[in-house]
Amino acid sequence: MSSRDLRTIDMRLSFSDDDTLANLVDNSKFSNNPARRTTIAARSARLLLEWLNPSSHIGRSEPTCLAITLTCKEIVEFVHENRQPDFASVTDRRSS
Amino acid sequence: MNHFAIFRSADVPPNISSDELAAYTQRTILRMQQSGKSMPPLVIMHVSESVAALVGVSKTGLIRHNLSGTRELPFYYEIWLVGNAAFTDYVLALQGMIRDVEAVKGLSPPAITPSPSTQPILPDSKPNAA
Repeated sequence: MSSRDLRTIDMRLSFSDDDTLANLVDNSKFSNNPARRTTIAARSARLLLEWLNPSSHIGRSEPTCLAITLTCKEIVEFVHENRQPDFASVTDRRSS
Repeated sequence: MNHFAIFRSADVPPNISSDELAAYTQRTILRMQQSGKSMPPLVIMHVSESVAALVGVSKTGLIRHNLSGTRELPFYYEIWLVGNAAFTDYVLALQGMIRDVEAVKGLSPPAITPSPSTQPILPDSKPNAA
């Protein structure tokens, strides 16, 4: 998965048809901006990586929470987007 | 480390809210900080049974941990809540995660390698979705 500075991406959703920055097309979940033709799941996965990176939280001392609700399809895509190739190779540490 | 995230599928039953999970997690982190401990980054996955089946998670309370981190993918834990999970399931899973953090710290510091891997850890009790 390629990395990118999420602070350069406008994550807001569009509520008007003329918003060319982040106008999400119905059902396709793609931005109409060619520079950001990426799925909601992929953007969420990148946002999570950025969120978990300590350097993204300069000067914050209190616990901070990122809460996102995705559709079923999006969250399945998100898990696969966020997961590394060997992520599915799991064993039960405690029971071993 | 203070950062955590909650990802929910839109069809998850509403018996546990993100606000409840966030408030309890924040209190736990603050208590750990007050006792001089730190919490690793945490991702709470609250999904329906159908989504869990699609991503290979079979039970609530599952904890996953990427044992090694990279600059792009930091050292973090996942706690999975499936379907009609109860709030106590999350409490038990978080306690299990904290015990694992302490056990891992007692063994060795996390290594930086290019291939992260995860292992599931189950809380001592094994609550199933009600």
